[in-house]
Amino acid sequence: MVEPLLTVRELSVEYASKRGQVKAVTDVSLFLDKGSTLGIVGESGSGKSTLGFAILNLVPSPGRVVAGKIMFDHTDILKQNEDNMRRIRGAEISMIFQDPLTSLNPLLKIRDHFTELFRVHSSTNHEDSISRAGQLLDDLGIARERLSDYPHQFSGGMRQRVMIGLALALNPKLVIADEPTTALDVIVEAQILELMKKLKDAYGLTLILVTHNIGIVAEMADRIAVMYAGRIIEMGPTNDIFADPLHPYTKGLLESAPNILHPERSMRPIPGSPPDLITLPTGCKFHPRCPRVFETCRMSDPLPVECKRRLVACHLYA
Amino acid sequence: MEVTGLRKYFPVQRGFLENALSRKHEFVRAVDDVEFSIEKGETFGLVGESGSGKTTTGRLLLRLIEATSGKIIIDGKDIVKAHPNELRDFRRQAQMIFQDPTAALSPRMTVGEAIKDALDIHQIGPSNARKETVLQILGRVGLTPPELFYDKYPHQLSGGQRQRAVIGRTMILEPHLIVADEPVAMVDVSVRAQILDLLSSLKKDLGLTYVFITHDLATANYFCDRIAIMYLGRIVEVGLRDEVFNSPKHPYAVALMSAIPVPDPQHKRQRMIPRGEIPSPINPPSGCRFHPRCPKAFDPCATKDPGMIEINRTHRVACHLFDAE
Amino acid sequence: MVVIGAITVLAVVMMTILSPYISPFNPSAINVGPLLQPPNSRFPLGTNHLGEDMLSRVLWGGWVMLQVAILSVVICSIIGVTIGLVGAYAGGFVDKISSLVMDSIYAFPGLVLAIAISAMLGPGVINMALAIAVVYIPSYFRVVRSQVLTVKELTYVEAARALGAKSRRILTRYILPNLLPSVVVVITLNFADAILTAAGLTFLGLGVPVSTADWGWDLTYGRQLLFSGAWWVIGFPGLMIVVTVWGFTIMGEGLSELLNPKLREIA
Repeated sequence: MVEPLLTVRELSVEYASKRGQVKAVTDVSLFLDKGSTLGIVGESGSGKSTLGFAILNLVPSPGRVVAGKIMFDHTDILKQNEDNMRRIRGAEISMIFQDPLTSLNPLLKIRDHFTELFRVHSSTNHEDSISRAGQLLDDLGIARERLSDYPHQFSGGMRQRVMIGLALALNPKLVIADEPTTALDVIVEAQILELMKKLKDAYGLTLILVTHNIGIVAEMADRIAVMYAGRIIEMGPTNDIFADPLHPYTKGLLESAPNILHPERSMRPIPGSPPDLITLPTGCKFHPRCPRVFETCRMSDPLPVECKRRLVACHLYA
Repeated sequence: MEVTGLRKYFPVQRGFLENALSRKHEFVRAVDDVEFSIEKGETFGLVGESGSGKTTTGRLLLRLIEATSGKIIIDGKDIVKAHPNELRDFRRQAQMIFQDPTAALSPRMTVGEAIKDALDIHQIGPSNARKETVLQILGRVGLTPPELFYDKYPHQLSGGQRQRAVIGRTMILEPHLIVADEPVAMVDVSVRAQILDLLSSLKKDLGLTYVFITHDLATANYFCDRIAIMYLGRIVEVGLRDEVFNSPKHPYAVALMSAIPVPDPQHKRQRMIPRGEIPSPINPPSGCRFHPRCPKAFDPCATKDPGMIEINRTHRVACHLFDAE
Repeated sequence: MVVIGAITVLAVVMMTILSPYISPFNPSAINVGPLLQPPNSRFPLGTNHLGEDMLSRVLWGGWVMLQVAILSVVICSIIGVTIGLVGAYAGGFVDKISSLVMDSIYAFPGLVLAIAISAMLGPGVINMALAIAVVYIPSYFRVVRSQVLTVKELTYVEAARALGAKSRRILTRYILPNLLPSVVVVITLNFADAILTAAGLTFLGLGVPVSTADWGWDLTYGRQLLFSGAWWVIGFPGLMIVVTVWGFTIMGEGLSELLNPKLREIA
């Protein structure tokens, strides 16, 4: 058995706020094999973005990792100093951000974004880095002449392609995409998804896809982790989870998603709303909204157990 | 409602010198000759991507912006030409639900004050009874206990709750027409259906007509009776919900349908992705606006603008492919 | 921060208001004591060259300042805010003209303009207040205008229009309340500036007649007396000016953090 590329063990991240500690991520454990795609799905407040940032040790203050371990390719991420992390970011683990408008420097030409990246990370000279950038743009479907344009001259879809290009430029081992298509129009989203699939196969990427869009993970991910209130409540192969969702929240999430092929099975609401991450309910965090709640659910927080080839955190399966 | 020849051109902002020195002005043709009609009690969907003109059309319908030309006849009155005084009444009968519920509420007014202001503006009911009416509406939209929510500020509520407050403010005037601009786009997925169900039940109670603006086809599928698909300021296809979704005719509509991610990993995706990107509405392509990207473009497409062609009584397309038939 | 500033300001104000009751001597009474005495047990802050008790002068001296400051701030804020609101909301020609006028006034160095206007109007509390007010109107105007321009495009204003609200209602109920935090900040900082300018005007002899006890006057004379070693004549009034201005400034800074409800919720 080959060791997974990424292992996260019992990770917890909290933010300090005036009203108390916001428990953004609690006790999250997962693993990721080389070459596979993991989709992390959740709504707002589920902790999915924080998890993504934590893997890069980029949790913005006042957030802190308060517990846990992240092992990436034999490196203990949380124990690295900032210099090492800078070396790792961009080159070994890279990130595709949600909003390409604010993630690109408006004062730098596209070409300069790339040369800056190369300059910081490796010793490729100016010539080489420009040609490498050009190559990437070809793969991404952007005309080479556009290297000398500024971000504001690009459309949203084009900017996202540039972001993807920057993320892939140094052949990273792991790419984390945080809501990569949320800010884009439907057709552009489709273009980007097709592009990502193509690049994934061509470069053999290992990908973490963080999103609230079930449709995207159904298409792109081999495995899914469903998050709620900072915890992973179900994790396993995509096909299995979609065919037979075990956790009531997973079931509710799948049913609430719009499904254009089967409209009668979609858009069913989950009553109530996601919990306040400072004052969480006792026991299972989903119990106030759960249609199958019973006594134990109010009292103790279920631990993930193995059931039907996946992990579920629910008393129904304990 | 009958909309004919509706146009809205925004002048492109230019510097002082440019304005003084050059005569030629450029325009963003946000809405360029749009035509449709809506029956009372319908839910009419305006679907399109960014730059399609759907949001601008929504605002034109309520005269939140002035049209460049065209007619919007609602209940026999032409909104475009109406005098500001006549608009007062219209404003009571036609309301808007905005996309961003946080931005739609003044951060310095409590939910109760914001909703009550609607009554104050139109002087509805004796002033001491107005608070009671607001409390009733708060209950109706699901913000219970109403007394508690009356005094809350928007930043103290969740996204879904804010949108309910906005809906409450809209409904309290008992309007006839509601233009909803992406009402659930900024709300969590699991809560979306709650809001849409609320809108449905209010529609039944108050006998409303909805214009539902969205880029999310799946939501439109769930909620609308008839759909119009917009591209670059024009309507390219309009028809009953099932007609448009199950058998889209316009190549752009086909592309849109095929582009939506489906939450089913076993589903075989066959996407028809048009070339390139949406062109700028300042200089839209000649003839059929979609022709540079259309996989089925042929001779007339680049030069002649296809008008609306009838496929059947309810289904119409703006595409030369259906010309001769 | 706000609390410290507010307490300071309040202390100064109380001291000034209560001065007739707590002041040991009439501040303008000359020769109550030996001339130019350093601080001692009988005259805790010393006496000046006219034999007036410094403690009494310091206690009374703020009175003119505060009157002038309050008056000028009131005039100034009402005019500045109103013009800002109307100009920015109306847009177009109105906006361009008002901006032009305001920018012209703003282009002058504050003190110079105040001196010029004050010299034209002559001495007196009200005239001082007017002179200072004119100088600061553009500050309010700018702050209000830039905020209105932003807020005017925000969705909730559009929503109010959709509800059928008329412009006046929109301005007073929807736009103005959202400007208040910024305006209050400007007011407090304006106070600080106004006091400084008032002191400056009196220092130059343009403010109030010399007989009135006033920190500014003490600064003028104190300056000359400094060379003979009498530091207490300039020192204590000067200190009072600094403390008062500091109090207002701190209060303003603290208020700008406090008055925004959203900022308050986030740590």
